[in-house]
Amino acid sequence: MEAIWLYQFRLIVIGDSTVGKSCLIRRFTEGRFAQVSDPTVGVDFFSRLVEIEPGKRIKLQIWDTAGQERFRSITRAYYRNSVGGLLLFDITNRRSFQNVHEWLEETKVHVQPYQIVFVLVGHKCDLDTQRQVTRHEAEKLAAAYGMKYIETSARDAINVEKAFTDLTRDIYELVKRGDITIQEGWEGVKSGFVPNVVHSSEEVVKSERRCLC
Amino acid sequence: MDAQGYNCFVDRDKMDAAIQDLGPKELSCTELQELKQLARQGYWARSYALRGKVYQRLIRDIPCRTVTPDASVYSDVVGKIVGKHSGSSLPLPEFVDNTQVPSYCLNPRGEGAVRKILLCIANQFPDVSFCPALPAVVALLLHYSTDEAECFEKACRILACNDPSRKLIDQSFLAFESSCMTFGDLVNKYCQAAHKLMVAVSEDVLQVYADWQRWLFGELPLSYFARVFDVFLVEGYKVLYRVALAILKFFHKVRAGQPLESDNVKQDIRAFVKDIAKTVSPEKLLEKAFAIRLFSRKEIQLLQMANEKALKRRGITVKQKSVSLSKRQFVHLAVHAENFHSEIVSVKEMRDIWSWVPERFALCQPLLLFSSLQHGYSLTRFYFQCEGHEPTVLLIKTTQKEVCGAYLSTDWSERNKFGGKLGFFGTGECFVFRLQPEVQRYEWVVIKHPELTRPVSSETTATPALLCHSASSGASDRLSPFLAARHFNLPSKTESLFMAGGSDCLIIGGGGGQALYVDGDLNRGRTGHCDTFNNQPLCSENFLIAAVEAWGFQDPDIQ
Repeated sequence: MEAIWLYQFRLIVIGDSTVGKSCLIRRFTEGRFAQVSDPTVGVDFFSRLVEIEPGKRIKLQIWDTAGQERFRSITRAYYRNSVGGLLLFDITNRRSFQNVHEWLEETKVHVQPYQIVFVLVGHKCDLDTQRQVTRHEAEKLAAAYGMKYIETSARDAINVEKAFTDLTRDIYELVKRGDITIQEGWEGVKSGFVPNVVHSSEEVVKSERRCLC
Repeated sequence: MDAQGYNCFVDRDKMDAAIQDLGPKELSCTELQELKQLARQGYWARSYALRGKVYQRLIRDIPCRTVTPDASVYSDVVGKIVGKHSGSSLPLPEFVDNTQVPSYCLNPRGEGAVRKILLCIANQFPDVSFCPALPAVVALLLHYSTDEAECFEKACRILACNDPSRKLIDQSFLAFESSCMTFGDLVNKYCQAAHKLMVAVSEDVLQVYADWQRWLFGELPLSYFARVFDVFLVEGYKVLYRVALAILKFFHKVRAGQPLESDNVKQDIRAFVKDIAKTVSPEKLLEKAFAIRLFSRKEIQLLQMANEKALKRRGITVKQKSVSLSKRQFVHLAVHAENFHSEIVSVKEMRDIWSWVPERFALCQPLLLFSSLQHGYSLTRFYFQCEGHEPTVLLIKTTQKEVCGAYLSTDWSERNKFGGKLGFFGTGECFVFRLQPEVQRYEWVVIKHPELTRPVSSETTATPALLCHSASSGASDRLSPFLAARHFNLPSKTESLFMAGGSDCLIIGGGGGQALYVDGDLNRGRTGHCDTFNNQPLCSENFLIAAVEAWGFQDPDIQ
């Protein structure tokens, strides 16, 4: 049976090649970690439900992208229809941190007229001894772009849930406040199906009204 | 579309002779076994419309990556990519590597469409770096598609197949090259006569085998290629090896006695495949292809992986102009005459031996590890010199000037794993041979008689771990008996006794006798029939040794 959810958010995960995008998503959606994995080809797709409050579920559609430059022409087609994004860098790879700016510029160009709510993710935090990027400078950079910063590890399952759910909550707040609205021809946010028996909160009423319109 | 079901891309005048529409128009079955039968019988060749439906179905059912470009993507990108060029003036993408688009009875519009589709695929699959088979695939699929976008979608699905056990077409130079090597290995095992001819007439036999995909995807006439594609879609990559082996067998049969038409056997085979209709019908070709008792998919896959690894180690992963091909050394090139010296064999004989070894080692130079002349007649010293090397070639010359030997897959140090007792080890790649008075090679018996590896009955004396393994897995996903015999629980132990070494003797091949037995002083030896290699005595049954040598394989880059 199709699970019941309030909204569907489409998220995109971007960042340099080998920072661990696919591993992070797999940890989140499948709960496991693969020691070796092939590089992502083009774009891949995952989904999972998140409960942001008891009984309040959001369906996440997560688009995994290839970090390699040669796929850029394909992956950038997916920015536009995303409401949120995780921008990953590898804390043991300074270069991937320096490229964060490029990634933001790249998305900005291709996401018009919409916007993506990004969270900056310092990945592979289990490898603290090989760290090349301090938490302080990453936080500073995130703040400069108005993003949150979080450090995660897919291998040790650190902050993986938190990274996705915090972002989901933030987007949910923006949707609730009306800063982000459901639009025809845009896949970023879609309203879900909620039977009356399960919920009676005002949000449910709201979303049902959306369904009818 | 017209009555025949041909679409607007097809040159009808050329088609009528190629395919006659006689058959039923519907696909009624869905069972894999039944599909396999129908494909092999050529049931879909009878109706153009039916084959179109079948391809649609089979390609739709290929498990693909979640995000695979479809027909609508084609409509989106084609304008941007093709611009205002007309189809026929379009360049082909780099990944086709100078392959021409086969005409396959397409009209000019169809030929242009193939180019457009290839360019759009190049745009959507930046990871496809080397795929000379694709023009033929697209040209064929265009016959069975209502428009360009549909053909594009079909080709994309074939490229984006993500079932790891179901390899469809090679998309990188590394995959392509290792397939060529694997094909060479299979020819070496299954078409020994043809292999012998190739070695005799070509400078670099792997160059000839590197053409194998071109025979199928390009030279083969449309009606033949479509038949191959039918079985390929149902059964996968392995059938390509089968058909190419069958082509080589027919080529050998037809051309064996005759002088070659040109001095270039590669060109001769291409011409032969183009005109294959003069020799065999599609039915006969497929019949031959499926009559070959080939290794299991799993074993071929392992062989391919081993070849890939050897190429990677050598740094051959992308096609570099002029470098990769000239650097690749095989047979005549691998064994350099100037710095080769053996007490036992000539350069020519060593080249013969090199033409028998697996492709991944044929890339290497021979390296003398042990010579009785230099190191003395001591088995202990022999082991000492050989240890750390894998594989090795053992050569023996008798006092009667007979020469025989063995290709040994595994490091002699494995003999120490049996706690002081004499135990057999090695893999199915081992073989024994005689060079003087006449040349004869004996391979592992299981290659000719795969039925000998049928599952074991439960009363074997296997360890519990091995029992679990054989019980839990079917015949298809067992470990390879070929490359990994030491892990494999064979039904009859007497057919997989490859090599054994103790302090006072060395044995090659066991079961009902020994192919070679040599004493600890490297003085006397015996040879006889054994079950493992099903061989005749390799020389006089009891012999006195004049010289012994062991050769290893040296990476040319490390010299």
